Amino acid sequence: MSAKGKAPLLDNNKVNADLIKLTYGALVAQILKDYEKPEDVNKQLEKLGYNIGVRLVEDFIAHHNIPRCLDFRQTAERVQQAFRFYLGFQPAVGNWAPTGNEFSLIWDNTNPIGDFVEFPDNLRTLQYSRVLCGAIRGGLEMVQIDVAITIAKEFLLGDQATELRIRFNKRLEDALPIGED
Amino acid sequence: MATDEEFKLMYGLIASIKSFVARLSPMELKEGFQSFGTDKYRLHFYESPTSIKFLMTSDLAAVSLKDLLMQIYLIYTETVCRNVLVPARGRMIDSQMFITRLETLVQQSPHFASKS
Repeated sequence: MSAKGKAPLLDNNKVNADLIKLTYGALVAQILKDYEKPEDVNKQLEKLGYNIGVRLVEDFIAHHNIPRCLDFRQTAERVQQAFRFYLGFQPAVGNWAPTGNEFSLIWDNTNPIGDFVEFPDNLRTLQYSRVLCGAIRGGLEMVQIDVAITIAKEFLLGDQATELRIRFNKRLEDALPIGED
Repeated sequence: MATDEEFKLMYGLIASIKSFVARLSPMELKEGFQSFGTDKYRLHFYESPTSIKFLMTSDLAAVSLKDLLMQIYLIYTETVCRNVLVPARGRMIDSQMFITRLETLVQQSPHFASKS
């Protein structure tokens, strides 16, 4: 029962989740070598995630026939769903702000991409999960939702869970190219 | 007319119709503008939630090509979006796989056969 939700993916078109986690770990290590400062690495990871999100959202919408969200709660559900489709298991959605424009994605007692990670003490400012924030931000931006994401809790740094806090900023309008009318 | 000009004109047309349609409607629109017809042809429009716009002209027999355009969106994500070597937006699509699959899809569509 403990393996529930972690069934191996038998689909030939998909790769094993562990492979992704290990590859990502190697990638972070390499970026860290190249950029040295954890702050710079965070920026690169955010960018990496953003580029993933921008493309992934097309795939997600086209394949699952997702209609437009009517409110932010639906958006939260979709993000949750997307995690299930692409990372194998889904986070809990919770900690809604009373105004309804801020929520958290929570993975209890785990980090979805950090199973094999041990954090050295001198790298505590490195945000290993930054790539997830970038992916969510990129994906939502494509559907005209501007969000700000912070990492509220990080399991790898000794917290009880990994928690991403997502705040709704504004709706982006379809911009006309300059000079067009 | 240069292709470039034509694209701009079409973009303007679609943007105008979209905003016009939305303003005329007494209620919140779900789908919005989908197609318009003349006595010679019909122009179909589908916009993905990510603002990618798909347009196709057809004869008058084809009433709605929305499903077809949505399938084209699917092909687009599989052949263009998933290719990391292609910039995400704003480039002419030159993927051979996209073109081949698009042709097959359109030719198999019941609307294609209704010509004769």
